[in-house]
Amino acid sequence: MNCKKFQRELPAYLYGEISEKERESFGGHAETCPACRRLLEELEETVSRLADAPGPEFPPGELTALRGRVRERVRRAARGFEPVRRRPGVLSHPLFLPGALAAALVLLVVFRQAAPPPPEPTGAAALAVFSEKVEAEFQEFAEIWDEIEEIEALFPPDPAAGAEADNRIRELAGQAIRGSHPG
Amino acid sequence: MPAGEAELIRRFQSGEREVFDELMIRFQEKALALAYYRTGHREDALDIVQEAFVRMYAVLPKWKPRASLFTWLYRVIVNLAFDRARKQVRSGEVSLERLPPPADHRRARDPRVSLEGKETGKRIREAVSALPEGQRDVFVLRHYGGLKLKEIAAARGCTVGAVKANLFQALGKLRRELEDLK
Ligand SMILES: [Zn+2]
Repeated sequence: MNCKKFQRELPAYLYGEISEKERESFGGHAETCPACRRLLEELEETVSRLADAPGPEFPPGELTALRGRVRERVRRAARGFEPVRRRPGVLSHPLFLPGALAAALVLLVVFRQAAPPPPEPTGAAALAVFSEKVEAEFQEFAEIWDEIEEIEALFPPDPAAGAEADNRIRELAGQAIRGSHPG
Repeated sequence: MPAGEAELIRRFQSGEREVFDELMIRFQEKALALAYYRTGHREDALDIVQEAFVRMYAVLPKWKPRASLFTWLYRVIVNLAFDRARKQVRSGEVSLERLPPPADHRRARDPRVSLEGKETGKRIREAVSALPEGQRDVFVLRHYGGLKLKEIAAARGCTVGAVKANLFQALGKLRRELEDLK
């Protein structure tokens, strides 16, 4: 292994994504190359320091509440309606309830013989409608699938990622260690 | 696609809606870490992830397991965070200061501004926030989200080589930023 490959594979090594065989030649290079060894030690220390400190904290209670809110929204969507924002001016009026009941009674009498209105979609049907809506919003996502698949196809023979990537890595390595490595 | 995920999705699609909770549990931490570092705020992160999960529920019935669901979720979160930031700035609800620092942000390192009083966790969060977007996403997804380099590449639509390069650069910057914590 040379310095270039060592530096390119360093992040994978630091996060334990390197094969046993690669690990050996990796360690071999670190033993013979002081600059790469120093880089490895420094970044290892950085990763472990970062690992000791938690990321943004979201306590378990908050996570449970989050999932509860999602389930509630999904339930509402599946029932086929979005919550109506309360308008206290009308709904809390003392005559609202009796008035509404009286109106409903009149309507009931008048339309007693009329055909029932078509049912609102509920359950699976409402969910399907909701899904269509969301899917339409993300139509563009379908278009990038081919792109993603092409990229994925490149993965197994990753070493062939090309000279361009190698140069970029070297450039980045130079910036990252600012002169602590001859290059 | 990670083991187990395909099975959960299959069960969801065959009517076991309860497994949705398991899917949320799988993604919640990485999704929140990503949304947090995209928006800079916990409350915004919670709102965005809630919205993203609702959409995830909606696409699941038709989801074809061609890649990890997180690949999709990543894009949804990034879009929602972007929309939110744009709306907030436009409505004057927040100033630009409230947005995550721009890519070339460098914290002033004036020795007189004592950093000793600051808790390590806070220092680290600031240092991560100050990373350029691409490096920050890659670092957050790998370090806090536990995604494989390959999964990050799929989510971001780039090569594994580019992910490694981003991660390398992020770690180099974090090392310099946090040097004085030694
Ligand atoms: Zn070397």
